[in-house]
Amino acid sequence: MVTFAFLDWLWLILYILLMVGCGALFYRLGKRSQSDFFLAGRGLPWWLPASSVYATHTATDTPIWVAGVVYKYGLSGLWYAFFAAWCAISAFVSTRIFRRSLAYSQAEWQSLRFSGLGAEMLRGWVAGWQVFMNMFILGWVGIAMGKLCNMLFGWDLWIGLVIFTSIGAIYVLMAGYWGVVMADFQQGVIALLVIIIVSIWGVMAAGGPQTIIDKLKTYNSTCEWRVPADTQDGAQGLLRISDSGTSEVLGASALPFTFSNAFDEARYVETADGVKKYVQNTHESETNSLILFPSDADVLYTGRDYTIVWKASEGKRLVNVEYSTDNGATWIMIDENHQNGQRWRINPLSFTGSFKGQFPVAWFVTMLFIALLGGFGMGTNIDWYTEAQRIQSAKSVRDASYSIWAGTALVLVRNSIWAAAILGFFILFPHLASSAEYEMGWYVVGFKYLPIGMVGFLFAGILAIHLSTVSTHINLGAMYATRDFYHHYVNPKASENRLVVVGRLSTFIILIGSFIFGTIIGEEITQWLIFALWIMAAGIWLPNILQVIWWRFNSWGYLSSWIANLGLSWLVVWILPRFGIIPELPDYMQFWLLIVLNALIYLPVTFLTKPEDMDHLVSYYVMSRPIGFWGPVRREAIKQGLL
Amino acid sequence: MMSFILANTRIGSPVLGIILPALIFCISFLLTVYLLRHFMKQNKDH
Repeated sequence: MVTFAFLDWLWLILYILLMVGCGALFYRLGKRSQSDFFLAGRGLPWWLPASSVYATHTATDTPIWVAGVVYKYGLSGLWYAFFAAWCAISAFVSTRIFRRSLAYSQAEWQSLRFSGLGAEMLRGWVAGWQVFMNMFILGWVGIAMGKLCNMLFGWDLWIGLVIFTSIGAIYVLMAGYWGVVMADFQQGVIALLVIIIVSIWGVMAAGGPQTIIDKLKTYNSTCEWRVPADTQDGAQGLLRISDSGTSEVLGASALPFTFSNAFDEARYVETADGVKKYVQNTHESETNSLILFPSDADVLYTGRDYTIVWKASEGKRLVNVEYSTDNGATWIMIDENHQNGQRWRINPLSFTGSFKGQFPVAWFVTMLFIALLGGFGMGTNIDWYTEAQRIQSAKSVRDASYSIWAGTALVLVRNSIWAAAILGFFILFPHLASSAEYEMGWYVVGFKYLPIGMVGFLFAGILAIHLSTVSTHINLGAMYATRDFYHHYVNPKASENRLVVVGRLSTFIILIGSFIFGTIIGEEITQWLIFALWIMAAGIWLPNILQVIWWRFNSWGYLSSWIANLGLSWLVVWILPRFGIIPELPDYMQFWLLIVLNALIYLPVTFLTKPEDMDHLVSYYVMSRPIGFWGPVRREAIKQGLL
Repeated sequence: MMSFILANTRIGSPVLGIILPALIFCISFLLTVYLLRHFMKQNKDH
């Protein structure tokens, strides 16, 4: 656990007072109207929403998952974050269309774009989903903070969850979005500087950039392996490494190692320490065997994570790693098209084949496709809903456009800064086999290597990261509850004072809801909900674009895509593979399959139902001026003299 | 495993633990004052 000195506590308390004070000071502006409480009066210059985009999308779990993908996949892992690049296109397409509509939220936009009963249903559905999603994200991020505090201080999970989100709620309750966006700017500056400082320390701890590159050239090859839990106790295992292209066996275990069900933690830890020396090439024993770990002296526990180590073979870029439990009669693949050596980690384009391995070209092309074309739609990415609030708070269409582009550019630059530190972390601890350990790498670097006084400051930086995210989602969830539920359905004639009061009440309810979500989020639930988020993005990705660019796509088509996606995603990801009807597919193939299957439902529904009311479409078109296939609407608008 | 990794191996002079946080604190404080003055004035004018 981490121990704070007096200086650490001093900086932590001072920074908390500064961050909360910054937001709370805007109380007088936030209380004036609904527009002030949720959109800061739509008067912000581009750099404020931009910093809010950056600060919001930097949360306590962000360095965890970035560390996880960079440790496992090297610099090519950064492409996992490239989906954020949808903002590069959106800044000049959907951002501008949305800003011109003047809708507070995406739910309200649905009733501007569509009409009739379908539009009302969509508004209610999107608003309800967003209230739920914001509470869930708050719980998720809050539990990440709880886990970090548990690791650092030994606190129970709920303490880290409740305390720090509540601190953020102070200035959100007082000043609404004014408090959020001002504090985000300040917290964004603090967070960026902390990220830079800690990452520099991480690189220094590993010996500097050139040392990292040099050591990657000398380290032996590794492959993560979770030993199957159903492996027979006492079974003898063999490993072999073969060339992926020619199937030539490069090396195999000379003598078998042993599997065991009787877990011994001390021996497990001691084994890991030995593995570190094999990877770093600092082991003392001389051996002619290609495979360094596991050897015949080793016992591997079933259900546990290990790092297999072998000497890198010259000229062989991709290898297959297999194991056998029947003395080599049959071989089971551990990883196909696996990268040999460690140099590949500094190559962001280290492909492992067209469709095979951990970084296939097909996956990369899918990511580019999703990232670049997604910008033509609204809601193609879960981040759209927070960006939408920032877009509407900008003082002009141009400011909205610049803010989205600049905030996202900063997000992508930030990831690269983290990546440098994680490469340094890999050099120091190359043997970690469990993602639960190596994904904490950036935090470990900070708390282990920073001087006294800076540890408290680092925690203040982590708090800045946390508060900027929770404050956004508290206020955003409250906006949907107030504007799209209370104001639209319950009390359309509510005064501005009443709306601010309801906004504050909604803020409090969202806060409490997030605590409930946070306490019930466990490993399995998180995985289930991550599946739901990913599949939501997949199945309705194309409809989210069609609703922007195609006049004929109506509310019933869009609604049917949501409903169909819920069912189809279960089929494709769980049910059909379980019954062997389709194989278990990689995530990018699931994406393409769901795109096609969903279209087979919402396209017929669209054509079998009437188009939206033409006058309604003309009104929307004249206000928002969308791009794409709007010919009939445009002609009608000209006919009516509106263009 | 994590507790072993977290054992301190600090790099850099302890005086950095005063200078760097103080510098960033001052920058953040000045930014806050600027934001407050700018937007309070702007909204007063309106």
